[in-house]
Amino acid sequence: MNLPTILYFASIVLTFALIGFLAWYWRQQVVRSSRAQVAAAQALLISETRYRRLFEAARDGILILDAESGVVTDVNPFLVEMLGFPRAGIVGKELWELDFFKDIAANKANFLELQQKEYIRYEDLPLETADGRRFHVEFVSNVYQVDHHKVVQCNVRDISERKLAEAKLAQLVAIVESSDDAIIGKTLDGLITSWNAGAGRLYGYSAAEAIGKPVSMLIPEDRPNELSGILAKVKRGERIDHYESVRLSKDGRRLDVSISVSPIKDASGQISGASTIARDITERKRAERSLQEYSLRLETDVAERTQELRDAHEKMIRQERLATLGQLAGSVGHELRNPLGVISNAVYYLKMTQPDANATIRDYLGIIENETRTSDKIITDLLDFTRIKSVDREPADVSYLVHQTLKRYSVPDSVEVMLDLPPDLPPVYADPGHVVQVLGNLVTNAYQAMALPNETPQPGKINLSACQQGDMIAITVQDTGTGIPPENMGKLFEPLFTTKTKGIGLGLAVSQRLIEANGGTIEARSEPGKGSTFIVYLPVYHLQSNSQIIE
Amino acid sequence: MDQKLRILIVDDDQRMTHTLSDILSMTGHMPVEANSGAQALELARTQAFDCVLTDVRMPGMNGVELHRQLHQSQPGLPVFLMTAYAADEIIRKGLEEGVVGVFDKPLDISNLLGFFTSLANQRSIVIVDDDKDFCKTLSDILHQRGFSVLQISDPHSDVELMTAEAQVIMLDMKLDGISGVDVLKQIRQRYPVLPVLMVTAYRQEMTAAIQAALSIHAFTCLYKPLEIPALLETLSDLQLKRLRKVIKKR
Repeated sequence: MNLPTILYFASIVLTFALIGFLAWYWRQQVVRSSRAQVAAAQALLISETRYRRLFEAARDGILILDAESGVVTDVNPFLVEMLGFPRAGIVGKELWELDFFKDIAANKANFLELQQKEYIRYEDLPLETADGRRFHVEFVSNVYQVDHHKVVQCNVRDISERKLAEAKLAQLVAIVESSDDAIIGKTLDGLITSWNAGAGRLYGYSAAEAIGKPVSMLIPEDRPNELSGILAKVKRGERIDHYESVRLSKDGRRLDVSISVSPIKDASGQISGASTIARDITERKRAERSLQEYSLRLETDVAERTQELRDAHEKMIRQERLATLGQLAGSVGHELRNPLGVISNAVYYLKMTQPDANATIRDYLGIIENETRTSDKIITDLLDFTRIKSVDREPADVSYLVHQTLKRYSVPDSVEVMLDLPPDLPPVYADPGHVVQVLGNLVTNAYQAMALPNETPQPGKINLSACQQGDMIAITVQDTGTGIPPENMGKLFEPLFTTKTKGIGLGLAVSQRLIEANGGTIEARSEPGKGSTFIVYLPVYHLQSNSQIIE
Repeated sequence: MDQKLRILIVDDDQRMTHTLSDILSMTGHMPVEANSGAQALELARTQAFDCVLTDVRMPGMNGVELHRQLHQSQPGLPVFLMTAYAADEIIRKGLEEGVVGVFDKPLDISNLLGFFTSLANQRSIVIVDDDKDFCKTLSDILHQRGFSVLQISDPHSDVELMTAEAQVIMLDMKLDGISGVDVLKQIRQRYPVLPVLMVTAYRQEMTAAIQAALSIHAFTCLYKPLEIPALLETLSDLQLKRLRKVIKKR
């Protein structure tokens, strides 16, 4: 064999081998291809099934449209159920022919947009079911290429729950925002995560200024451990209720607040932060402090008032008693005067018809007469005190009144009378009878003060003077008697007060009443052992028509 | 004139009226006792009195009521109250209605007696008119009304006679032989303040004379026929004023 022949055979063998190889390879390819096809077909089938299952079982509505015409080619059971409309009524129709999509024109426009952009999303599309129920859906459309033509897949998700949740959330947010109280969310490390309008009003920081900052910026330096204590409690899952504390506002003011802190749990139930509600109780605290002050003051006031009431009550009882006594005294006094009158007449008669009676008889008659007079004086004092006599005021000369007094209330021999009555003294405007009665009372007291206990008169001086003091005339009766001890000075003018064995103790009380009824006052001064001074002040008489004072 | 006064004493307390009566008798007066307002009125109706002294508080009619009734019938009869109740409202009313004065019990007898003496002096209404009938009738009327009256029908009588007992003179203007004005002049010489009531029947004629009289302080001029009620009131007022002045002086 030669080489060319070998090569010739070789090439034929090779060619056959190649053909054989190619045929095998091609066969492999065919097999592969058909296997691939089968596999592909199988895969497609699986995919389709899977897709179909998804399609059928999806809990969202799915709508398949032809991208060119907009005709619905498929609709999944969920959407059918959602819309309450038979499948037959949906499939084959153009999208905007369907009643559910009320806004047909918009849909058509959107469809164009869809065709262009190959994607459209409605966050919130109103739909109406067959039985008129309106609800909102999220509507997402995508354009797919399937077997040479474009298909639009629309995913329709009922967002009613979401909307409800959104609404609820909005409501909660609104509640938080509208609250007067500061509502602050913070992390467990004390960083502010939420800040409502109330917090802004209370503390003065805006949300932007506050969020992310440590909540410790609100706490004054004198409360260093408060925050850590609060956060510790929160971490343990405990609440803090109505804890009164102090916080700082943005402008540095100290605010009295009442805070309630509660833990915030995340979805898994872990404590993720804290929520604080803070209420400005500055006003309340101020009111509380005021209230306390007032309460204390009230207690003092009440005590005072009670005492005043008690005093007034006692005074009223005293006055009632006095009034009753007065009435009684009045009646008794008057009644007594009748028999006294008869006795006095009888004595007069006896004296008159027995001029020659012996000395003893005359003495006794004198005694009866005196005692009658004394009795009458007692009654007069009593009646004067219980009832004010009518006051007939007129201009009266002081000197004249003093002399009348001394005449009517005769001076004991042992008493020296000194008078100091300026002649140019203006007249007083008073009832002369009253003035004489009062001066008489004062000089009688003076005489008695200057007498010994057994009524034996002692040498003494009585000084009667008068002077003008502004609009008043002061008439002074001064004696050199025993004087008045200081503890009695306050009681001098009280009715029924007397240091004498005789007399009812009404003289000064009546005198004071009379002088006061005449527009004046009485004062008393005394030095025990040296003597007493009584000053009667009476108004000066002024002629009404002109300012001349009559002499 | 008689200093003896006929005094009507009224008090429900007999001891008071007895003792007073005894005292007043002893001092020369003529007291009559009554123990009630009714009894007093009865006595005053039948007897003439110069004054009445009455208690205020009596059962039945009180002293002021008594005065009210007495004053109606006898405006010329002065009434005094005595009382143990000094500042009574009733008394104030009485004084308003013409009670002359009030004496407090127990009575100051000497004061009372002194007052009666003053009362006794010059208590007459003196009628000077030469018309005797006029004098008589007027006198009777006035007397019946409780006044003390003195008639003088002789116009030439001594002025002293006219004035001695007079508290008021009623002087006719046309007297026989002398003009009333002249008599008035004489009176005025001695007694510048003694109230003199000129009386005349001749209103027109006497105009000038009346003027003359008034110019020498004649109290007033009355025209006959006299209006008795008005006259009684005038006389009663004059008497009241005079008596109150007397009381004040004391």
